[in-house]
Amino acid sequence: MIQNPSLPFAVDYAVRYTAVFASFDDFMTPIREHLHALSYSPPGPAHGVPGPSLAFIFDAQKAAEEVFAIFQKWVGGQETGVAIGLSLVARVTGDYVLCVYPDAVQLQARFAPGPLAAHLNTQVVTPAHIKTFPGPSQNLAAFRDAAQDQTVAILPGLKDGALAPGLAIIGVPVRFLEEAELNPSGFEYALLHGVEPSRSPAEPDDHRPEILTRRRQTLLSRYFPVTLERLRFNTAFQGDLRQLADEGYADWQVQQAACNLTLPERLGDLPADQRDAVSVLIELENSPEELSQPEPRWNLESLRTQLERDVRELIGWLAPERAEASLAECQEWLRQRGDLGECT
Amino acid sequence: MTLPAADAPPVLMPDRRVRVFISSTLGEAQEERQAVMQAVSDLELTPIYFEAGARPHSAQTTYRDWLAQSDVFVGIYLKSYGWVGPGMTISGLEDEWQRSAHLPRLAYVKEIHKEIPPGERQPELSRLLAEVGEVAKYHQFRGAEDLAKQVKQDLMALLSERFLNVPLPPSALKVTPGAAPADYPVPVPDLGAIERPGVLAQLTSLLTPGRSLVLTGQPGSGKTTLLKQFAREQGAAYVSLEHKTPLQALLTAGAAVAALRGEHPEFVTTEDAATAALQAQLLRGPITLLVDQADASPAAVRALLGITLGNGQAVYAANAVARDLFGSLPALSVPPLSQEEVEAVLAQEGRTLPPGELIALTNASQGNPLYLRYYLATGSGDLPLDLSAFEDLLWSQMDPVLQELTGLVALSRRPLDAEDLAPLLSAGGHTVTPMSVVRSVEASRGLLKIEDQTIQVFHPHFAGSVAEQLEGNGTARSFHRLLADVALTHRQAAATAFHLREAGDPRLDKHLMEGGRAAFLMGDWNLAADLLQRAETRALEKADLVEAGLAANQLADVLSQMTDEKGAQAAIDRAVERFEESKSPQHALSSRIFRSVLWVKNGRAPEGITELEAARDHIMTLPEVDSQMLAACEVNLSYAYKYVGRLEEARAAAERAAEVFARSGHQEGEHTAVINAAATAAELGDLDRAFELTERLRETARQRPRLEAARQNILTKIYRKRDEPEQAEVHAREAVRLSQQLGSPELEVMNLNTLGNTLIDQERRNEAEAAYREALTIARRVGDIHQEGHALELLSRLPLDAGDPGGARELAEQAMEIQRRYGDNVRVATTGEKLGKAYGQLGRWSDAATVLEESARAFMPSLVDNSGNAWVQAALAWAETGNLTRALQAVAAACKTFLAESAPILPEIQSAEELKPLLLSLSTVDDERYFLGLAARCVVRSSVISGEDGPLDLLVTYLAEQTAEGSVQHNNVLAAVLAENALSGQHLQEVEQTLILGRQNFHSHDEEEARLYTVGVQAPSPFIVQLILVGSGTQLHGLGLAIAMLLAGNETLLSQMQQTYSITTAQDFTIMLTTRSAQEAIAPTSPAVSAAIYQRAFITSLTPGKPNNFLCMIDDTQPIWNTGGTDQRSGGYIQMGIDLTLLLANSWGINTDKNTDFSRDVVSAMLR
Repeated sequence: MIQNPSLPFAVDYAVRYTAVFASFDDFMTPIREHLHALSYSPPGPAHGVPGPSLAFIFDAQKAAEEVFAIFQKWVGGQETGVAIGLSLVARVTGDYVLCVYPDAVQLQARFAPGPLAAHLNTQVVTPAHIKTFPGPSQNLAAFRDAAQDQTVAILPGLKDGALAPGLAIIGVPVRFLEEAELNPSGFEYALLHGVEPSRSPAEPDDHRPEILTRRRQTLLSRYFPVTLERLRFNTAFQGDLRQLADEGYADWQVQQAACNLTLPERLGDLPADQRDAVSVLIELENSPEELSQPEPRWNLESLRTQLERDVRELIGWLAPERAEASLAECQEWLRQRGDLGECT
Repeated sequence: MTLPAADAPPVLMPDRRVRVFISSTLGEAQEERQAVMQAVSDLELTPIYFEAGARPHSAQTTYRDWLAQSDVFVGIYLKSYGWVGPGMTISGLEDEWQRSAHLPRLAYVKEIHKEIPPGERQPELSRLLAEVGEVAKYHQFRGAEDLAKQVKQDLMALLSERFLNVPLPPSALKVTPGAAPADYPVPVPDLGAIERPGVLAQLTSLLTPGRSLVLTGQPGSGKTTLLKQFAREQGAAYVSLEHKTPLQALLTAGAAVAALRGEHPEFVTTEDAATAALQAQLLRGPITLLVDQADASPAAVRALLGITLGNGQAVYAANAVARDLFGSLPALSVPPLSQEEVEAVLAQEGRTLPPGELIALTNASQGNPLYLRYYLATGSGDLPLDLSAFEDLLWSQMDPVLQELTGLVALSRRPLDAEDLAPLLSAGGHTVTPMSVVRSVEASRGLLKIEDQTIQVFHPHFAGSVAEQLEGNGTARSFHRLLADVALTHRQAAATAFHLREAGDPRLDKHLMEGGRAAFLMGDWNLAADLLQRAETRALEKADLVEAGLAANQLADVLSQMTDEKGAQAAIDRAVERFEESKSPQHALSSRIFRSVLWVKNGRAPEGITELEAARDHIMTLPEVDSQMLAACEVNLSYAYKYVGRLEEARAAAERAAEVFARSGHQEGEHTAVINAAATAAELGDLDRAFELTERLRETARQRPRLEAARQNILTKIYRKRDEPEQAEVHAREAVRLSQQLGSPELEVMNLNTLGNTLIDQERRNEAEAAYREALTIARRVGDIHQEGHALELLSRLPLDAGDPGGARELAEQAMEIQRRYGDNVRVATTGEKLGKAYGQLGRWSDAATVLEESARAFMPSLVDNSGNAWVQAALAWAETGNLTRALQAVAAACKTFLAESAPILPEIQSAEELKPLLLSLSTVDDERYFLGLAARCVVRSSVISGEDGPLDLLVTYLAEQTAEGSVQHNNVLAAVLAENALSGQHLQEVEQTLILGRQNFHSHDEEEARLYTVGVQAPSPFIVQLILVGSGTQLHGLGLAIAMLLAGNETLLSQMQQTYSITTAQDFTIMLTTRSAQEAIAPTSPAVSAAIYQRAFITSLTPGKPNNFLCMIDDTQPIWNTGGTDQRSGGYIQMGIDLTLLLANSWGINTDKNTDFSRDVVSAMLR
């Protein structure tokens, strides 16, 4: 009993997979439907929040808590709210627009935590929402004067005057912009005009074997520390390792295959439609292997099957044109490249 | 059916059952609230909880009223602080807490886990929890199920404590009438009465119904006191026989027994009637009869002994057992007071004496309470004059024969036995046999005693009094003449000369030299000096220069022992002069040898040693080598070498001399040589040989106090080095006593210092200080600067240990100045250690380093450990100045000192640039990572001080590379460096990355606020350890990485340990490592935990129910201080190692009784 062959996980931990991250946090609905007003308070001891503060006044407590829970998620446990993009754009009509969106870098770090951000080719699609308030507003002018060169605190409030300072997020940078002066490549311009923000091109990848080896070794060690040690202690596995080495496989290939064989059990609750390599990596990053990890299970047959999948995964990335080649041809190509240097 | 009592608590209706108010925020704690409500209901209590919803009253009014009607408050806290209602400044959650102050409160906080990472708890809630923690204990919980269980348990405990405890009725607190309160005062003993519970208990245990017992002891030994104590404590009839006829004795005894029974005594007028009356009294019931001063009236004793005791018993107190009176009755002798008892008596009187004076007093009083009381009555150091009146009385009560016998014994220079005394007494006009001498002693009422077949006066002070009596009445001279004849018969030169001198006998001239020499050997230096001075004068009168020279030579030796250095120098100069004048080259050479020794003693050591070596070489070149002279030269050289710390040479010279002296039958020389050899062997740590040599002298030394004093001193050293300080103290005290007996301040000071050391070894610091101070006082009084320096040095250690480096510095500087002046390298070295430590603690690192280097150089080469350690301390001190070059030079010197021949070839370090070559060289030392670690520590500390990162970067890179290549040595040194908390986050990342790629059994998963290290250990029973680091900062990161490295890098060691301890199963385990500040960000640390952390830097606790989960906490809130070598950090690092081994021992199932051994084995291998 090894795994359900219909749900394979083929991952090569040296491959730089491409990931597109998009946030689907729905905070637009509660903002649109329940955000009643913005309320500025000058610096002072009010609510125990330092500096100027901006209360988001809702007409429903549930909506207020939902929106701030999403803001907290963007902040991701940091002490300040730098991960929140907050702009107030004065329109030529005299109205003003509240723009709220998560910081792309922070979002990327949250979706691809740890070394994954550097390991993946990431593209981030950030959610951003706007709400227009009628203007002009003296309150806004006072707020702008007080908060022009510093960060502010934002907190939720209700129409009856109740506030939740415990949910306050401090250190949020706020920008005051004029519609006419918006930078066409900026986020606010794109929001106001409904166009895609511009992106910088990805850097070319380095496929040298030593680079791949280092990358693979780092991630395998990071994601399978317990399994790797148990395999190292296991004399049966060491025997199989030697057997497969005789068949031309590198040690790292066998170890990687054995690690991948643990994935169905470890990531059993990962929906079938998310069993792509990126989802696997994110899940592994977010769920470090613990001592409760079950003993690895394998046999030569399952290892050989997994090895072939993994080889094809690597070839598919390194040399897609060889996708139809036989396993032996792929292995030989890798050997010549120097990827199997550890092979005994 | 039993009805409840009228005042019993009523059965509560369900609605009056205990109401438990459950407080929490509404949204986030839904599951937890539900679980707690169920738990409360399960206990048949009423849960009260506020839920949002339509109510006629406002939310605040509702929950406040409900809270007011509740009996118990349960608070559940997760991460939210809750909403602040209109017009309020605090949230409802906090309001509920504040309004529940009148209730018993239970608080539960969701533990920081992945679900609530640090920082996600709202700051307001953290503040509230801090307040909660100040007034209530709270529990942490993981999930709803865990919480419900805990709440149930706590509520049950609370209810049993709080609601079911019926207060005790007032009657239960009443005290039983007549019962003694615990603090009932113990009766204060009579003035001068000395409580001796041990002796009293012994007396009680020996009493048998129907039988009598004899209690014996010298006059003043405390018999009367003992009997009175017995009477007072146990109820007995006391009667003293002093000045009583038999009838009076019987009547008094009868009256005492009647009084004891609360009756009137019977009126009788005859001895028979009194006997019958007493007999009748005693047969009516058991009575203990105490008969004091029994030897004052033998007739009365006989009368009393004739009475049947029934079931009672009698105790007769007498100075001695008179066999014709008491026959074979069992006897108990009152032992003299021990030194401890003397000390206790003094303490009872509120007095303390320095140890030397205490020894002197115990010795002078011979443990006799009577004499001690005299001392106490006057409070002066001298025994009081009115004791003489007492002694005069004793003397006048003696019959003439006993006076003559006592006089001879008292005046004799040597112990006399009955065989000696019988003819002497006969010569006085009496016919006396040895047997009758013994009978006289027995009849002396204890004033004379027989010990080891010799007859002695009961107390030396009384003997002195008798001698004065005889001097006063002019009979002493004739006694001395008789005693001189006996001494002459026994060929006892000192005694002969003494008695001839005291008798004014002209035969003295022939015995001056021999007597002086013998007196010197016996340690009677005053007599020796007097005899030798007379001998020199007499020889000059006879123009016998050689004889005068010999007398002066011997006199110099005596005066030197008496610390009369000037007199000794003058005497030896006279001797040399007279021998040269008389053209006696052999004698002249001998005197010059001794003169050289005196130079050594008097601060001219180099000159003296040069002279001695020249003399030795000269003797060797003579056509016929005078072996005895050569041996004499060698023995003196051994002394000189030892004096300046050249111990190996000293020992070799002494052993050579002993051999030659033994071959030639020169016992005196042999003894001196053996003593020197023993002393040096002891200094060098060859304790078996030292002990063997002292044993060789045991018999001889009995007769020679000087030799015995030296022997006792060496035995003290031996037992100290054997770590038997109590035994060492016994020998030290004996050495002090002998020094006093010899009248040698020099020896007394030396032995007082040694005594102080034995007391220090036993942590008896106050007593040790008293000994050192007494030594210092005596040394200053007699002008013995050398010993003064030593006492100052020893004293300096006390403030050092007591955390007063300023005081220590002052004393040690004075000592150092003296030691340097004398060129005493041994003391320069040891004082330098202390001074260096004091400077270090004062932060004067440069001074510390300089003096420690001086100390390191001053230690004799054989004392490798001492010298090496001083170099180590110097290296660390230089590092603290930021001078890495000097530090590395000292490291190299330490390495060369410790390893000697096996030391690697080290570069001559001229600058810190040589760091890499030095590290490479030190790395070649097999099985020794000590020096590499030392160099690393110097680099780290000097980098911290100077801010120079270059060497530190180099060090970290070098160690990491070597570690990645599999070097255990470098791995463990790097772990130590990491634990120093001097590395930057970048350094730590570099090390971590190198390990990930270089060590297959090390794995890391780092996140912003948490790191996870996984380490596998391939061993016979392989195991995996996971380290979870919670918190931030380089200290936590460094220590966590260090622990991981110690595990990852020591697979071989851990495998060996499994084999050694027969481990067949090793469990995987998890260590959570956090910092106190990280913990306190979540909840305040309890005082108990704070104290534990403060003391140990790390705490380890087992998570209940999870034997393989451990928590280690680092206190990062205390400032870290450094004292050069043994600072908080390294202590913490070692403690970390110990904790780690304890975790291993736990997971390996090692018995707790083996934990210490296991821990020591592993830690010493990992952290050496």
